[in-house]
Amino acid sequence: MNRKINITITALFLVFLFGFGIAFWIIPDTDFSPEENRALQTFPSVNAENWLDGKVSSQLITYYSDQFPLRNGFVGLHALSELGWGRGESNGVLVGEGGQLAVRRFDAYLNRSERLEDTDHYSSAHVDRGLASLVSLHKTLQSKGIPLCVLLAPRTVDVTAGDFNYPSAISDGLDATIENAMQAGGVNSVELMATFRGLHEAGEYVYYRTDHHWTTKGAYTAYTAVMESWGMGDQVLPTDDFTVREIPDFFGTTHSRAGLFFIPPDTLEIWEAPDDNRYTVYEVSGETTKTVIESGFISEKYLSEKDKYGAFLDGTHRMLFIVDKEAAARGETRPRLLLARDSFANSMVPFLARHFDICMVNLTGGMTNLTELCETYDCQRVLVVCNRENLIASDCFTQIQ
Amino acid sequence: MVFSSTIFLFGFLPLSLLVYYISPLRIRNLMLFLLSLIFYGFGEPTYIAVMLFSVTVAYLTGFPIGKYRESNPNKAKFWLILSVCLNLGMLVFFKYTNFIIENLSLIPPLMGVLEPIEGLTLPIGISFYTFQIMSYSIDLYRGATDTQRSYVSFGAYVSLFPQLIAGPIVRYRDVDDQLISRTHSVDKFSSGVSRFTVGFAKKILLGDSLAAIYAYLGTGFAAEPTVLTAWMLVLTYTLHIYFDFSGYSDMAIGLGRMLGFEFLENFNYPYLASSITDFWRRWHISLSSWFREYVYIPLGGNRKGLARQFVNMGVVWFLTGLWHGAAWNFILWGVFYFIILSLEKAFLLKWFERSPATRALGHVWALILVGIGWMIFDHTNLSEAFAIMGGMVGIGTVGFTSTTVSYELLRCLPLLTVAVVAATPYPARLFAKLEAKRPRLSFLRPILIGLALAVSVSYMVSGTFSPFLYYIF
Repeated sequence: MNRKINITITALFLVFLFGFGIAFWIIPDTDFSPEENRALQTFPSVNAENWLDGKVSSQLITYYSDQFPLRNGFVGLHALSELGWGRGESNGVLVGEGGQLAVRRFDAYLNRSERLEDTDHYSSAHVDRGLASLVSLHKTLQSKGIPLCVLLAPRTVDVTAGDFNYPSAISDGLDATIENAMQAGGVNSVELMATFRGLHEAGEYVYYRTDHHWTTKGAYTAYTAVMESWGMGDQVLPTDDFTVREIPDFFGTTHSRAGLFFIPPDTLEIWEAPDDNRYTVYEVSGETTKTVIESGFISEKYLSEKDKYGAFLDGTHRMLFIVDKEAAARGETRPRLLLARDSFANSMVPFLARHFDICMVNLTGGMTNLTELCETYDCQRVLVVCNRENLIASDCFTQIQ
Repeated sequence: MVFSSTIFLFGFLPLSLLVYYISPLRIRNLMLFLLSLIFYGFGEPTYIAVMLFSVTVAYLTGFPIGKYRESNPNKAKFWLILSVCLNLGMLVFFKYTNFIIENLSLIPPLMGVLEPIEGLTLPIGISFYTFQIMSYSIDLYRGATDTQRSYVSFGAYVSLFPQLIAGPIVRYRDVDDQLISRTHSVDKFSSGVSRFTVGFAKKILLGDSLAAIYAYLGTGFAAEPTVLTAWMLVLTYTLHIYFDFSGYSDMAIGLGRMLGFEFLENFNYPYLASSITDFWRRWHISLSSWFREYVYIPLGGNRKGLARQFVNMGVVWFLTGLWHGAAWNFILWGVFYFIILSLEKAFLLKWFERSPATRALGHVWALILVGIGWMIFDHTNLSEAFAIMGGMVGIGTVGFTSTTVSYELLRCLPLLTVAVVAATPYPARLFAKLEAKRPRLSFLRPILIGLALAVSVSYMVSGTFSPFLYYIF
């Protein structure tokens, strides 16, 4: 009996080792992992020099892991067993009711030079510095008669806290800090955490389940709030003006990070109006301009890829202009809005563009001298739209001028 | 190459087993030697020469030591000293030179005179194989073993890949017979597989998971120090290092068996220790017995009076600390144990024996001190270690706990419970008992092993699953 067991164990082990060992070499390599959105290591080139400095061996180790047979299956098994420990999360991503995911752990600044990795803490001093920059920006712009509106979009974990047993104390604390600082500084700040929480709890689809952004409906909510804060609530376009195009099977960034294969996909909505064609999107880089999207706001090629959210205004650009080309052809000048943004703003632009020509700059990409940009491009309003994570985890706010 | 990598498990290991078992018996040591050199050279291509130099020195000096040890002990002693000095010299040069220079440079007249040597890195496993090599020369001199005439067999002993980079420190005389002849059987192989898998699962599923929690808590403690975080840091590191290190030893012992070797045990449920003295009989046994045998006893051990015994202990624990790394925290860690062991020797051990209650206190004493010791061990920057120790008693903290730490503790509870139970012999005993009662339960063994392997591999593969998110663009 025991001998049979020992033979079974030995055979099982050898089949496992040799099976995967041989399959590894037979199965052709893949260059790119759409799940991880990164290039995979391929077989390294070997010569005496890079062998001696240990480069080849480290590349070979990565090669073996990256090209491992059934890699995605193993990643899924890992995520499942993580859940099996009762941790309610995988890879720093909370897993809640109805397949709601939310990143819980972020990087954060501890002080000016030190960073914390993978934590749910944040440094209040760093956040205060960022908020103080916004207040001083407001003062500068106010002296020039330019209104500023700030929208610090809540993170998914802030909005969907109720779906997890995760304490909301940090979200609430951050929210209070922002609100107090903005009020004290007299900044027109659009506070949406309570609104989004309420909508989410009422079953409204305002934040994606598998991605860290708000949905198009969430973006519309944000647009309405911004317009109201400018006293332009009466000009807000009603939802009836749009027809909704649904793009199914959207697996977002949070889904990638969690590695949980059984979470159902999101649906990405594109709200289209009959006159979308009159708008065009072009990029300005130094002296050159380049058309990015000829008509409308959507870069169709992204819709068939994994990174579907990138369809809004063609993903990341340092500086984009969104204009009404028909109005321009008629020689009309529309008011111009300087939009300092991170990716959250991209899905808001199709709404805002009906009221303003937009000069959109990438706040997280170093475009932080807003006062100067405002003068250079003759903008009459400034709107900052950025996710709260950037307030904690990046240095862009402290650099705003 | 570490055992817990896909390239080892699905590349190097099957290849080695294949080569080893299709080779005729008489060239198997040669094959082992060559495979081990590939294993070592994979990660350390340049330092392979350092290891071969040490091997060659001990091999060559082995002949005169063996020849003269009876007829002319002084001559034999000369060759022994030469061998030990050259070997230790390599260890000291690579591991301690820069540490010595850095500290000498703190003395005002020497400031700026010496510059640290750039690019001097520690050859992997040098602390382990140097000690193995020395055990050969010393035992040979003492007549506890005979001269190894085959360079291949001696080289295979030193470089044997299962124990090359993280132990256990196998004494030459414990395997000299096995180098000449060892048995291979399905039963032995399968017990090796079981042992390897247990170690693999211990390292990956428990050790690495605990390390991740420890890292998370560490950043939390830096941002918002609480009492509970400090205790959790101690607990998670204490468990992490046990599963990491003993898991690695299990893998080494298991791999050894697959190749026909039997190595001595390196751990014996150290956290069940009834005192620190007991702990050091259970933790990294091959290292503590090495120091006892080759340092403590030659210095006179406890045979030359109590005062001398404390001095000897001091030397051993200073060296034990230093062996773990060239930094002051390791030395402090060794001295920390010297002080505790001296207290135990002086009176505490006797006191612990007085009643069941004091015995229980001995266990608590051992666990807490070991935990505190690990904080010294893990923090080259000692102020961080002291901050955690202070935090344990509420010094410098902002409160007892925070919402996220409580959340984390609650969510880790199943893992921590499993880890605590797995650090005791009870699960293995329970399974053995059940199996004795119902022999048919044996069929569970291959299933459990297969499951543990698959899940551990999934952790290993996901370890490199690193989505590059366009995240906040």
